Amino acid sequence: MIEFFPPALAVLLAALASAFCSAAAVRGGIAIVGALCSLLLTWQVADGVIVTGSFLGYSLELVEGTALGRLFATLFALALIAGVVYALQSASRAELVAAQVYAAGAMGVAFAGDLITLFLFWEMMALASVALVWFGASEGARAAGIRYAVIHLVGALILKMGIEGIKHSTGSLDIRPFALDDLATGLLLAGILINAAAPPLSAWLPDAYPRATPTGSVFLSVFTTKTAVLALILLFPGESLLIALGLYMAFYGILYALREDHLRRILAYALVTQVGFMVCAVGVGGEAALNAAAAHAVTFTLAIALLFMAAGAVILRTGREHCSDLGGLYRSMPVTLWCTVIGALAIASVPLTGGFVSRSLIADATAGAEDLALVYTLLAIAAAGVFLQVGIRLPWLVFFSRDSGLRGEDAPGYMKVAMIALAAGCVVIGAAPQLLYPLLPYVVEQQPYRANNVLFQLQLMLFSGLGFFLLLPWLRPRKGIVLDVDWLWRRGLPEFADFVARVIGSRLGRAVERVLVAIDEVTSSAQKTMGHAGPLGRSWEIGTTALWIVLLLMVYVFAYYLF
Amino acid sequence: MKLSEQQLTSPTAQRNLWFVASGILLLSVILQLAIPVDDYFGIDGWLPVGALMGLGSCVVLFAGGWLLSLILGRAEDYYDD
Repeated sequence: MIEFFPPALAVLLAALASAFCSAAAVRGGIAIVGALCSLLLTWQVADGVIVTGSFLGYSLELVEGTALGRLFATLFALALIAGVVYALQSASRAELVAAQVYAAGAMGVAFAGDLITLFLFWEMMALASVALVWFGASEGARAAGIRYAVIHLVGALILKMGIEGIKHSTGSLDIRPFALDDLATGLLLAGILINAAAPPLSAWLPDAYPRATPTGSVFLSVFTTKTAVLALILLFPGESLLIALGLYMAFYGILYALREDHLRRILAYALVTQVGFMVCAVGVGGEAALNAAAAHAVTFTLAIALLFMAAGAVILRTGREHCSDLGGLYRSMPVTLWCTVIGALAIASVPLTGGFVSRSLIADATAGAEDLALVYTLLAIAAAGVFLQVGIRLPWLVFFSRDSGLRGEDAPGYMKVAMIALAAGCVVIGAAPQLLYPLLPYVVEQQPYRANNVLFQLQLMLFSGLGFFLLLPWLRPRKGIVLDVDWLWRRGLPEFADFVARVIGSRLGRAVERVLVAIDEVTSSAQKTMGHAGPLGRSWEIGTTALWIVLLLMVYVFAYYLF
Repeated sequence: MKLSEQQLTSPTAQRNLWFVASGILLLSVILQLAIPVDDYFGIDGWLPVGALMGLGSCVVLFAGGWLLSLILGRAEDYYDD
């Protein structure tokens, strides 16, 4: 008898029901009802362990209520609802089911009370997300899905080794803050960081996410990286290594996106950048910074999902995905334009958007501490870079810039509803951040809307915008890709293996050939000597044989006496 | 009166837009005389620090991105052959 119905189970049951439903609208309706039920259940989860179980001899804490868990589960449920509404007219049955299983996995992670439960739901997410990449149904999607699966399989192995190591050394599987002081905690951190797209394995994200269907990309943008951030908040708060990794991610995403032409790849890089902000805040540690990381997860998830939705609408209506093929769409897609502008401004932390609130919380958490002066400055530079990367460049290239002559209709009705809802979320949190504060794990003491903070942020954005227009002739998108670390396993290692095989193969071949020739010479020589016609092989007359025996005995006798 | 697209995109309109934008940029700097920005580490309280940081970051990041694509940029089908 289950004493409490886990929120993830509500979504899983809805996924099961929608798997057997052929009508798209009914299927979507079931998915939305399931997500709403999970939302309702999420807010019934009291603090502490409320659902337990056992699996393969492990005692599991399947649902443990915390403020952070409720916040992330709420975010995942809302994102699922928005995603399902967006996908109502376009997602296949299998894709919708995979998206629900994916969301259920994320909710399971949010409420996991022990490391094994976290691992199980983690893997549920990995399987469902691989399926979402494969639904892209192209050769590129198939290959990217395999690479994605391999990376996450490796991540799972590392994570599980870390969990077993911790179990062995401490005897406990509780989710609690760890210090990075032995191999087991190092493996645990590495396994989580792979899902956060941290270096050196950041490339899987811009490789895989843009290959999914437009609706698949929306779901993919929400769950994996945000559950990784949640796990980092729970397990490694204040780990200073995360500051460096977060900053690297922030600048990596900006630099790679600046001349990128592929619409969804720009967004994938923006996703890495923003997760970098969160990882950095987790590394700073302390209540203010952890609040900031959680708040940024909420505001950013709304914004990036909105941008992926808008990108999907553009792809659907124009059939184009490269910015250099787009431009001038403001004429025919006004709703998509405004939603894109709001999402882009929110990601760029412009005042009156949710991004401004959470970015200010991150900046305030680093401000004032002497040892974090460089971090504060680099985060401000990265914020200006994000305005350049997505805030102004993306809407400019897609909707303004030169007129591409493309004249599609605006997004379909359901897509508009989902986009407008998320855009409203970005603005509401930006205008009334006090609605978000009670959901955060700690009391918020900062006030983002200080005149000096708003002014500083505006100066940063406005002059970054000035730089954009001054550098515009050189900022044209460049068709093609920019090589990343994944070059190692996509090109470098296979070519090296070919080279080694060629070199070793040819030398080994020559050596084997010489040995074979030598063996052949020995056997042919033996054949000559000992064959039927050879001197040792043919039949000798008895007299000749006796003579040989006498001669050999004489040689022996002489040798015996002489030596 | 509703403006046509030609009127909005004409050279005169664009010049006027640049004037307005420049005015806003200037205003954001002048406003700092009345509203000093937070001075956490010394130099961040200087007058145009947000402006310089915004413009400077833009130039530096642009140069970095441009260099990156110059060195590591490849054709879209690089991995396909």
